[in-house]
Amino acid sequence: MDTLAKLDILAEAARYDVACTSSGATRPARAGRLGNASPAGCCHTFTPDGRCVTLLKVLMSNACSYDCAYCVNRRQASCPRATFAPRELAELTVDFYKRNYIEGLFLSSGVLGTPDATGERMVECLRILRDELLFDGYVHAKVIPGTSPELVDALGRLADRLSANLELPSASSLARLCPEKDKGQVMAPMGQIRRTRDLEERALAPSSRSRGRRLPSPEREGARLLANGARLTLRPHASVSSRRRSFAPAGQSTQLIIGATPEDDNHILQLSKALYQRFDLKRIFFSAYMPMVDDSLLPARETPVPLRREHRLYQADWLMRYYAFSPDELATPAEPWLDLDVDPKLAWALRHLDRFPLEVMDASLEELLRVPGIGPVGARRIMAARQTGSLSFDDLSRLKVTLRRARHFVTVAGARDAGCPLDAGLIRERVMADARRSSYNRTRRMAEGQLSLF
Amino acid sequence: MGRATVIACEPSLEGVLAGVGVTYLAHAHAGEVRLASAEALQPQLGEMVVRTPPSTDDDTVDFARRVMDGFIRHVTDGCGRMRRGRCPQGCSQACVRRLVLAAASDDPAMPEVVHRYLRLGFERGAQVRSLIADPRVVAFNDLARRVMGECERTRQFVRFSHMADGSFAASFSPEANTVPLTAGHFAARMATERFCLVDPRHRVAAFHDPAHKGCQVARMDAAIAHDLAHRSDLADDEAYVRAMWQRFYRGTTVPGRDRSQRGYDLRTGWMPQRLWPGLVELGPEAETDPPAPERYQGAGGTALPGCQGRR
Repeated sequence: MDTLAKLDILAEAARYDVACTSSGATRPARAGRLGNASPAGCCHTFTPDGRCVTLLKVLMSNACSYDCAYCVNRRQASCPRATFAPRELAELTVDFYKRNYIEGLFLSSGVLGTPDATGERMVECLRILRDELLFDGYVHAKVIPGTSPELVDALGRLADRLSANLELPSASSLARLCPEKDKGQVMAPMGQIRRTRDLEERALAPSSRSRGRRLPSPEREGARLLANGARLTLRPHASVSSRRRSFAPAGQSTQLIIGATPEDDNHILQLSKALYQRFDLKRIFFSAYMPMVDDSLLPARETPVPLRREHRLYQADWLMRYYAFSPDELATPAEPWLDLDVDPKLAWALRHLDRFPLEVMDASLEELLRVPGIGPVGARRIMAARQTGSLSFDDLSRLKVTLRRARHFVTVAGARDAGCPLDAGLIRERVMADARRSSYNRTRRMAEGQLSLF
Repeated sequence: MGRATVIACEPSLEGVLAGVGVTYLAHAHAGEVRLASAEALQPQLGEMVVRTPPSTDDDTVDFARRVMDGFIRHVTDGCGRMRRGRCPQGCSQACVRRLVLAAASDDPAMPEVVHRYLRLGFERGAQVRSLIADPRVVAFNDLARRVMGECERTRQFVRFSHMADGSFAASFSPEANTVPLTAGHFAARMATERFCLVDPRHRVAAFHDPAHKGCQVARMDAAIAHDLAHRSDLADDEAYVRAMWQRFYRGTTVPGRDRSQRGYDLRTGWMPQRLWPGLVELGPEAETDPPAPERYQGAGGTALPGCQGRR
């Protein structure tokens, strides 16, 4: 089988793994070596559904010896199987990279015999890429649950980012759908990655003075032409640059499948927060379950893909990481599901109309970030612009604040927007109607077969 | 000057800076003078036209540099952040970067937008950096942001081809003069490769040789730009690698999440259709698979051409 035929099988086999970022690592170009890595990464193309393609995302092999119920590559699935030779995949990566098709490699694999046998093959591929082909581009490597610590360490020394996929949001779901995996097997490499990164960080930044980079002033950031997302987060910044790290410099991430099991949004957000804190994850990716296999343990094949739920969970995750929201503010144990028609920040604001309107001329950064339609960039622009004089709604519009949403929740120099109702009930009604009329909501309601009462 | 005047300048950074310098040398009243691109000049009724010399002229470049130095002095003078005569946060560099970006725009309004911003900087000094809601600054920043977006699209969507002589070549036609601004990115990324990136629209190309760190950027006439953009001497492995990329792209697509499912076209939003003809992954697939190079015949691979690795 030539590489083209293998690629046909192994690219398709990897497409349900949604993580595809090349960000978080800084590696300047070095003489005699090919490639580099930049903190923002780069998307080189977009699939018809709009997902970014930045890495050559393939499986090393789809000849998997595990039998996870939700997986298209499970042992009992009747699909064509293929396996890349380590060098073959390394050379393919370099060929694509030189043509500016990709930023690097996303290496995952089915379990080829045992986790360690698979891990050794992955390490060999990355070793050829780094040591023989002298490749300095981005590499994301997936850790197979059950891989020995030595191999996890070797992968971390060769890759920029590691990820161990939790896949299912509870131990009971994992036991039911993935009989060969358990929670401990997935958590063990995540814990090891966290500990190794912490040890390296302590070695590189021993003094307390260098710990925790100071947040840049919002006024200064607002005047910048391009906002760097990482600088705008309210989370504490890393004390050691990725450039100085040798083990998984871009950190680790994980993936959760949404809609295959009964866990609610509150559970998933609480779990996400715990994972961020416990393992210092850079990202959690949510993958809406697409029914592809007939199994009594899984939703039926005709079940609609929960795209809106996935979208709302990403928005909620963003709010937790960038806007300092807590999970219970977004989906409570009493109301555990996110509103599918309205984004989570707008839903929160509508539940807390007593906190609005907010005066933009003297609101703090944290307060501005709670206003629907004002994001980290807009909030900082407002703070920069109000230093030189009084603002108006026209100024906010010029600063690219999304007034369609924000105007209901702010006053500018004491004035409310002329078209905005004063009554809280009317605001709620109008905002909800606007949201429900959006093309996205209408299309998804039809696709998901939901009955609209509005 | 005393009467309405239009300065017809070359739509480049040097051309616009020199044009602004001319307005100051002539003591023109700000309300009576405007800048316009010499390539798209339409004088208004009764307007006097003054043409600046081309930026290939050394005197024009020197004059433009004086205007730029003066601007930097003004926007840093009196700045509260200055320490021992230097700005710790690189504000002047940020201003220069913005100017360079904005001046690379193809927008016919570019010379006048940059002119107004420069005048504001000369009038208000360091304060210009925080006047981000001022319409002149908004227009200027919009231009710079649009060019920055086009630079990003250049970094994203340039597609190199492996040529028969072992080098790599690409042709890309952006909506701003981005090749000089992104040449360094490609030089860093492809440090070990000899390559040429040509923009036939702006008649400019970047050439890189592994012996040198950066790129040589050259302007050229339309005929040479056309020839460079339409080279057909591809390497033997090129057709196969393109086929693999097309196959990979097709395989990555997840069904059930496209435009019909979302209600809007997310792909076109990220990847403008004007760029699609240059994207290998969206091109027609060959009816039969091209012959596989030896390293891709399934045996685990042999040496890559041009690879300097240890074996």
